[in-house]
Amino acid sequence: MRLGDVASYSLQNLRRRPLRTALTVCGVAVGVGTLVMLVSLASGLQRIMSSQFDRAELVTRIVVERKGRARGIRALLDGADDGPEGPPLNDAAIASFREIPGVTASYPEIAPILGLEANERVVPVAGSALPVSALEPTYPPTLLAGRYWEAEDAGNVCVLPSVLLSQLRFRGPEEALGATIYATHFQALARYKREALPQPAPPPGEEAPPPEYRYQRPGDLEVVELSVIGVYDSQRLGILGRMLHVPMEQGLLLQDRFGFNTGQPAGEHLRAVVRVESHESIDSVQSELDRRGFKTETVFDYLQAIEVVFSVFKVLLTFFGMVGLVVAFFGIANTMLMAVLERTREIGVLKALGARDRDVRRVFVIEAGAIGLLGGLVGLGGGWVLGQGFNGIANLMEAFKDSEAIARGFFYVETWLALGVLGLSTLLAAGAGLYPAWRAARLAPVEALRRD
Amino acid sequence: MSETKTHGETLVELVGVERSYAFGETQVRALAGLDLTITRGSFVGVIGRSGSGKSTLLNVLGGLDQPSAGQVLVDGTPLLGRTSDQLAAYRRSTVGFIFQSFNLVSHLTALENVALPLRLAGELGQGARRKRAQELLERVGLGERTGHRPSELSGGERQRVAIARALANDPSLLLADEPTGNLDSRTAESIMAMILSLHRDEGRTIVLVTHDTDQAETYCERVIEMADGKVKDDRPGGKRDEVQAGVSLSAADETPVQEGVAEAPAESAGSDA
Repeated sequence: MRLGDVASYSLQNLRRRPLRTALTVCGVAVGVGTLVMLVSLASGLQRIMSSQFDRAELVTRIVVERKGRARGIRALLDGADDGPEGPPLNDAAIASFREIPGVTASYPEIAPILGLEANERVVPVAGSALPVSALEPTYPPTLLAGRYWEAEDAGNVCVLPSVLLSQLRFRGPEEALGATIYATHFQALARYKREALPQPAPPPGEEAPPPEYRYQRPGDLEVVELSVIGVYDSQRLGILGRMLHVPMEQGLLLQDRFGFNTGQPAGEHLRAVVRVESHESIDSVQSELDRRGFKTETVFDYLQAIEVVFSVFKVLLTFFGMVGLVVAFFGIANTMLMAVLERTREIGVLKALGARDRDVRRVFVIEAGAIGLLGGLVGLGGGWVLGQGFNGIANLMEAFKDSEAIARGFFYVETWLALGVLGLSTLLAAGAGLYPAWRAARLAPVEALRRD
Repeated sequence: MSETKTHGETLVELVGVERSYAFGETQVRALAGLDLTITRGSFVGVIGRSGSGKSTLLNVLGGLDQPSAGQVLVDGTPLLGRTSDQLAAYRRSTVGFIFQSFNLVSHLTALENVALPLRLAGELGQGARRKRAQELLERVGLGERTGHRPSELSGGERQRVAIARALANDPSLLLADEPTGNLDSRTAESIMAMILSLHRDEGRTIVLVTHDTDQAETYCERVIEMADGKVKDDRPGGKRDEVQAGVSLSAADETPVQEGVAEAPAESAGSDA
């Protein structure tokens, strides 16, 4: 019997008991759907995480540290021991990085955690000190209003992320321009005096809005006045969207007054940032920095770490998802055993007409495999639709509205997952049909024909 | 069916064939040293009481069952010791079965049932299979009912579909096991007439197992009576010729026939030639 003929015979059999076929297919579909949802959730989250690093700013950035002081992601990946101490990371060394071909800027990473006050509101924020040379060509992000500084000694100026506007009670970017805000140690925020603002009574039947507060600075608190000269668009900027940009000189001052003590010897920096022309030159610059004895980290190292974490996560979720498929496996085996019992006489007829054992075996294996494939398709479609539904519901929630997460989707079905899950359900189902098929094939024709 | 083979030569030869089954402690000998020769183009009726071994004989001839001992030669090739695949090939190419309970596949149409042996043989494409099945159904008078499933056909029609199916691979040996056992007497007659015409008009070799002695003696040219797994009597039949000639059956009883094997009456032999 030709394989195509066996297959068409198997499919005809499936149509004979539509309800039973449908129920068995449903069992597989539930298993496959669960697996698809779990793994696509992991994929979606991984994509959202990775997208936070998928910025021109980040893929052209190398973070440099002194060797022998394991910390950061490399310590996690390579172990705490990162070898003997390397050369110190001082101003001279940082300046020398600019000579490496492809490097556009290099500067110490100054990122003090600050408290910010404006309009009687406070908010914690990370400062980011940038030299003028770092503002081109891939940076800064889009400005909504104002400008960046043009000289290193621009003084007490800053560029605000748009995400902070409403938190600091500015009605728009234009209103913030020229405003004075106050920077202080972020722990000092606790010393502010909080006072609820009087609120009009809510209309009957409506809930009262959350209370608003006014923060009063203690008289003795040391602050630095900063003038807002620009506002940049921090929407969809991921982890970079909450940074207060200040000139390098100003950043050093803020670090000095409010930043944590990094414990560095005088003249040395904890970290430096080296910026390259494009992500294509990042490898050559990174290896040159490595050769000079510094420890380097790029966003790709982070992405690699994320990859590792999510791979483990996916394996775990796949394992849980497989439970459903294993249950479906027994369902198919049961269905096929029933089918063999029910069709014993027909098997006898097929054999009397000259069917070989392997023809009979194939009929049942293909039938089981088809149930698996059908269930896989239904489960894949169902899992995808449910995932899209959840994405849609999340979009309605204020917390996720127009966010990066929604743009990417929490559930993401990768091609390999779609193809893999179809292959897996088909193979598993065919496997479940093996034993029933073997029993069918070894039936003695005379015995089978005698059966009612 | 091979046209180069001539009538009268041996098609099937059984020598000392034994078949025993174990039912717990007891051994049942369904065939107990059976010797039998069937010539090509003959129509043999096998009669006997239940348990006499006639169905076992048919199963052995059809390659559905293997004898415990002895030799079965079909067309000179032994059946004993063949693998299950070889026996399947033998059933596909050499044997056509007609069963008492029709044994049609319930979810297939008449046409698909008839085409099933061709599908199993895997030699013809779908179009050619359908064409051949259509021709066969027309031959048994069911050209208009090809799309019907067995449940939509009468008993007689089902058996005609089964006959068409048995002919699909043009077998050398047709084996009919009580083909009219589930039919009323009028339908039974038409089915027997059809089987008879296969023998007469196409010269097919047919072995008919029946409990109905009269039927065997009426239609078959040779009647073998079995008892206890052996041939108890081997005599000519051939009453049908008288029936068809309008002569009374009692007269046919008195028609002198030669003692021996496979000697068909002159009329029948003439029509077969």
